[in-house]
Amino acid sequence: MRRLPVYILIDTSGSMSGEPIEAVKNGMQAMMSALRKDPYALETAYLSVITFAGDVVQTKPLTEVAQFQPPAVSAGGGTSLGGALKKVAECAEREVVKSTVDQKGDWKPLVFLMTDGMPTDNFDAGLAEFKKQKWGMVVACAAGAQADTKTLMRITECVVRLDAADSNAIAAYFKWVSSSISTGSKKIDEGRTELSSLGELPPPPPEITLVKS
Amino acid sequence: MEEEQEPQKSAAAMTPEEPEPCASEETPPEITLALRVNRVDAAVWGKANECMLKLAEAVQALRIPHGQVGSPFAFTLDLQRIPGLRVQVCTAQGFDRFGLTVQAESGQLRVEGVPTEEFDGAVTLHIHYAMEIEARKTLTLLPDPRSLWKEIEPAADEGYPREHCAVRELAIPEGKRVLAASVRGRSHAHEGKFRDDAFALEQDLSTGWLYLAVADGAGSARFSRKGAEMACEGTIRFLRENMARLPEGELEAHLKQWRTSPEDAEARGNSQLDKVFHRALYDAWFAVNGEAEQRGAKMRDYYTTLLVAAVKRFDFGWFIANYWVGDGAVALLGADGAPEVRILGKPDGGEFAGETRFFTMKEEITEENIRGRLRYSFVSDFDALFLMTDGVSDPFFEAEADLFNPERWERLTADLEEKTRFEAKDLLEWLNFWSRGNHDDRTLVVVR
Repeated sequence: MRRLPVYILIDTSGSMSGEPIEAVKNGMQAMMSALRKDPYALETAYLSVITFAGDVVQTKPLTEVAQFQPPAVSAGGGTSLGGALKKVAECAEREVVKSTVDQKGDWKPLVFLMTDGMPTDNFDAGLAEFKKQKWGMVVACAAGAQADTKTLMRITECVVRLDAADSNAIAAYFKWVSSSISTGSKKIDEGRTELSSLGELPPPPPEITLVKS
Repeated sequence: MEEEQEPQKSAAAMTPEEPEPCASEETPPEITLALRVNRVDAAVWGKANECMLKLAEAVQALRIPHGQVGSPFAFTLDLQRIPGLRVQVCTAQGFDRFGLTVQAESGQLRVEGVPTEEFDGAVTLHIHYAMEIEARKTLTLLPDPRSLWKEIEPAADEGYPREHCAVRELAIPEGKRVLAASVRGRSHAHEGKFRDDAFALEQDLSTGWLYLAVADGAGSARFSRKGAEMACEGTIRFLRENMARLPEGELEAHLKQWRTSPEDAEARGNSQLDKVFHRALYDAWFAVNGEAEQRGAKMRDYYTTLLVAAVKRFDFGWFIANYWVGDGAVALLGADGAPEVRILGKPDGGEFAGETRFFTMKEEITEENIRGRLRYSFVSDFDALFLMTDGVSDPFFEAEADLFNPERWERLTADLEEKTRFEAKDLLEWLNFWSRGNHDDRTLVVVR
């Protein structure tokens, strides 16, 4: 079974506390109940959650959709975006099965990263580690006006923006992530190919704008 | 160890020996589990608070995994680390409705069963010991993933309607049989799409040739089902008509000579088979092209793989000529009594050779490319000749190397033998086998 690994990176810095972090929890719940009804995602997608504030924690290792229970998340100080990139690279190195002559490995992991601020750590070092891994689609989401899209553009060309980090926008983001995971799983099931461009993802809802370089 | 009464405790912390009826019976929709804990070891005497804390910890750490309707499910609350306690189920309410049983033995609470119904809600846990512990846990019983696949009919105005499955059986004079079946995949059924796979069989009793073809229309091409059908039928019709025109004695003479020196290009040329196949494929290709033009569509709308074989028994043994472009597999098992498997062509799934190739691509119809894809086999006898689309080959042969592994083929034939006894009537059902992540259309043709 070739899995579709999906890494969800969530900024849990202090500015996310209150409404945004509650919206993240609700968003993940809603996402999971949607994915559990989707036979493609249920059979193919494996999810992991990495939260980053001052510390970076893989709060959930790669877990199949049916067994995935959204982790408890709480907000803290700092925005270790570099650390988060390093961590996801380490997790992928350890968890994603590589293809060999005798074995088809997992599909290239999808990454959905959401942050509402500027990195407070060594971003460049983390980015360098991140770039060493092979990724499928990497989507970075700038939540609210404080998030730095220029930094995100260095991670991936697929950068989106939420005008406000409020519960509506965050709910819309997770809904979109959920349908993107469904789309990716279905593409693999039907065509044995991976998502390769933003154009193949479901159209983003009005709350989400694509950031052009 | 005998159960003993702890000598003295305050009334509130006293544990009565007789199981007492637990509260909360008046909330029927809820699932409740009440446990009573007794001390059975003198070692825990006077340590009620400590035990209580450990119990509370164990309860807090309990995370119930998600269950799935139809699949074995269990979770346990481990109380082993609190020795000297015995757990009794006082009330277990609502579990049987979901096909679950609750047991408490040797310091462990165990809930298990095969869930019969979906559920997403709370389980209230009461533990009665020195005092009450009450906790609410989430129990999630997900639907059987198989039940999530819908069967949707394609829209009435979809072009090129066709049956969702097809099956055929042929007895050939040489004591072998041909079985063929094709089913619409779960993913196509779920999306309300037609089956894109096709197969065709022809037996020419006057010449003794048997013709077989399978094809898998590309999922991304809107009319690929027509492409697949036309590729199979067109090629086979042409082969049947034109092989019959080859002077029989001459062909056999050429084959006899060629058989003794398989690398002999001249003998291959003399047999005329390259030419006949080229013309047959060319003919089918142009028929698809004409269909596309008539419909105002493009050739890429009809993209399909194609696996064809022409089989005949001569005095010197069996001769198999075959052509294969795209993914899927053509395999000969037990050729000349040998245990290995012969893969009759080059597997070219997208994973290994760049993009999957399609019969309907312009560059595939050149004489050179067709020649490169033709295989000719001389064998005294064989156990089975398989032609299959990737809907069958992917679940059974995950990596390309697996195709060359006789054990994998043994697994496939053993499964077919056990479940169908190679009877056509059971083959359709067999093709619906469950394989996680593999729900493409499936087509299988076997001569054995």
